[in-house]
Amino acid sequence: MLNYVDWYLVELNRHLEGKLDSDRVESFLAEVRAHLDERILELTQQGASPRSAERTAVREFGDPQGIAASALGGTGVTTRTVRRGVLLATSLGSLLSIAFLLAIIESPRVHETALISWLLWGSALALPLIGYLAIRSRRWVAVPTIALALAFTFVLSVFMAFTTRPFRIGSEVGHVFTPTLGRELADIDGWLAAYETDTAKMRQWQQTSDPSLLDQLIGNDPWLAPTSSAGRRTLPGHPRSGSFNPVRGEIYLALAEFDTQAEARLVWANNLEMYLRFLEIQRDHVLVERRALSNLLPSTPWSQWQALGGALMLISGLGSLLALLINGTVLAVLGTQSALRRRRWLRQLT
Amino acid sequence: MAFKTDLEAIILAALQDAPLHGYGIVRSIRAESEGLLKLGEGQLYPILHRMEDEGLVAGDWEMQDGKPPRKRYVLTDLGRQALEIHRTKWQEFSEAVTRVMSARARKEVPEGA
Repeated sequence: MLNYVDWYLVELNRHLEGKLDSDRVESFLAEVRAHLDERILELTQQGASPRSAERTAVREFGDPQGIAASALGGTGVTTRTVRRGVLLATSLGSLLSIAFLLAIIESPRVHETALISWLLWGSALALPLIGYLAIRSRRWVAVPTIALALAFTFVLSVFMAFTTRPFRIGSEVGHVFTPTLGRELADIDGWLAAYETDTAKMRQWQQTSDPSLLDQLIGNDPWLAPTSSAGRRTLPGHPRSGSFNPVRGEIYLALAEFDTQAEARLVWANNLEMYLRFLEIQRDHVLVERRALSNLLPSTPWSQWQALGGALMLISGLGSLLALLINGTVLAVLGTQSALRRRRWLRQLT
Repeated sequence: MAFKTDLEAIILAALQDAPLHGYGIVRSIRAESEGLLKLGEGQLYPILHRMEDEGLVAGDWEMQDGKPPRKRYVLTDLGRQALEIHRTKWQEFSEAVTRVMSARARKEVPEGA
C-alpha cells in the first residue's frame, strides 16, 4: 500500500516534472522526504501511531500544488502556457521553413532566396540546441533556449542581409515585383538577342565557310574563341560571365583571349559544335529565368506550390516572432520587475 | 518605513549560530518563538533554494548512517549582512509601532484617573 509520504512525493513530482530542472526536482524531493521522515519520527516518539504520524506530517507540510508553484518561483500557469505556445510556434515555423527550403532547392534561381535559406537554416541549427536543453532540463518552456535560438537566427539573418540582396526576398518565390526586375528582364533580352545573332553567324559560317563571318565573332585584338572553362561561362555579346547557376553534368565554356587571329580561328573550328550545344543549354536556362521573372503570379503547379510554401513560411516566421515579442512582454510585466527589485536589494549588500 | 513580515529574515536568524537542515530550521524557529511562530513547512524549501541561488546561504548534503542524506544550510557572509539589514529594519519598525501603541494607550486612560 502506498503510504502518505510516497503519495505526497508522487503528487509533488507530478506538479514539478517537466517544469523544473530534473536534478533540482530530485534534490527537492529528497529534502522533502528527509523533512517528513524526521517529523514522523518526532511524532511517533511523542506517541502517535505511524499512520497517523505520516498523515500529520504531510498535512503540516502543506498543499503540494501550492508548494510546487512556489518552487517554480513565480512561473504562473499563464506564463508557462505562453512559453509553450512560443516554443511550439518557433519549432513549427522552423520545420515548415525547412520543408519549404527542401521544396525550392531545385529552383533555377535558388540563390535569390539565399537570405531566407540562411534564416531558415539558422532556425534549423537552433532546433537541436532547443531539443538538447529541453531534454537536459526536462523543461520544454525554458526561456533562455528560446532567446538563444532567436538571437542565433537573428545574427545569421543580419549577416546574410549584408551579403545578399534583401530586397529580392520573395521576388522569385512569391513573384513580387521589385525595382531590379525591369533591369534583369532587359539584361536577359540582351543576352537572347546576342545569342540569336551570334548563333546565326556561326551556322552561316558552317554552311558557307566565309571567313569574314568568323572574324566578326573573333573580334579584334584580343582575339576570342570558345574554350572549356572551370565554372566560368559566357554568352556571346555580353561582358558578364559566370552568372548562371551550375548544373550537374553541364559543359563549361567561355570566350578566351588569344594572341593571334590564326590561333583563335583554329580553336573556333575545333570547338564550334560544342559551343553551339553549350549556347543552346544556356538559352534554355535564360528562357526559364525570363519566364519566371515575367510571371508576376505563379502559373504552374510547381510555382504555385513554391508560393504557398513562401506564404506558410512568412506566416509561421512572423507568427513566431510575434509570439516571442508577446512572451517577452508578458515575462517582463509579470516576472522581471520583482526579480529586478530583489537584485537591486542584493546589490546594495555587496 | 514598513517591515514586510518575511520568512527569509526568520530563516537567516535561525541559521546565524549554526548550520541546520530544513527540519532543523523549523524546529529552531518553533523553539525560539516558544511555539508562537508556525511555519508553512513546505514553503520553507523554495525560499531556502532561492536564498541559496542568491548566495545568502550555502547548502551541502550530509550523509547519515542508514538514512537518506539531508541537506544542511549555512549562512554566508552575504547572508549575515542581509540579516543585519533585516534586523535593523525590524527594530525600527517595532519601535515605531510600540511608540504609536503606547501613545494610544496613554490617550485612552481617562483624565484624573
